[in-house]
Amino acid sequence: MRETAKIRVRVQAPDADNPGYHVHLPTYMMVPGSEEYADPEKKVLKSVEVEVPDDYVDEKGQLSKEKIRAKYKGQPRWDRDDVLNDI
Amino acid sequence: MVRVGFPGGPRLEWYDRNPSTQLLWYGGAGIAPHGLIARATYTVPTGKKAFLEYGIVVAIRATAPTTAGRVTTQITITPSGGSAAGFLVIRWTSAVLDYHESMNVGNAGALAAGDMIQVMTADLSTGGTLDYSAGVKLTEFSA
Repeated sequence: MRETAKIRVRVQAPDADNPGYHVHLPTYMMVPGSEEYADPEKKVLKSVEVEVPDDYVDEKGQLSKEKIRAKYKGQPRWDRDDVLNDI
Repeated sequence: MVRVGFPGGPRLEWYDRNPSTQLLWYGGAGIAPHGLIARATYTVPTGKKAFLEYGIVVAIRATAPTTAGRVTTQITITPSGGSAAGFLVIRWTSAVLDYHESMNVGNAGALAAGDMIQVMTADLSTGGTLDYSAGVKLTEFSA
């Protein structure tokens, strides 16, 4: 990613599509040390800061459903109305 | 009449078709034990392909654990509509300071639209920390 935007997002537990804790975005990089845990034992990740391509965000710096759907048009996992519901 | 040649000229090479460098990287120092986490993910956009030029995974024992558990650092590829498969994988168990393992590869081929590549780490030890360096360099281009 050449140009990136930084944003805090929810972390998802492992599921059928992903064997590990993950962020439900097609492209991202976690910022080391930005992890926020849901429990004092630090077993369950709650949120994390990620870098995303700058063409994911609108002029206000918020993730844009329309931009993400357009970039991954026709891809069943990402070109859907609820693409940002887990963020 | 049979015409020989390309009316519009030959097609450009992949590295000349709107190329853009994509770096996917995780570099963490003094990271505490954790379950499997997808630290970074890249998905090939529609209408694009991506040539995977270089990949590396490294994990170094930084501080000793109370009990050593399995350390995993891996890069996986999930083809569009398919299941994840290991591309670069290191797994080891050691409580020895500075113990490390690494793996790297170059010129690993092309990914198609919808294919996903992920950098993942896990440390199932009790206590102690590790340093990680893992990632890939790709060139994204018009399909």
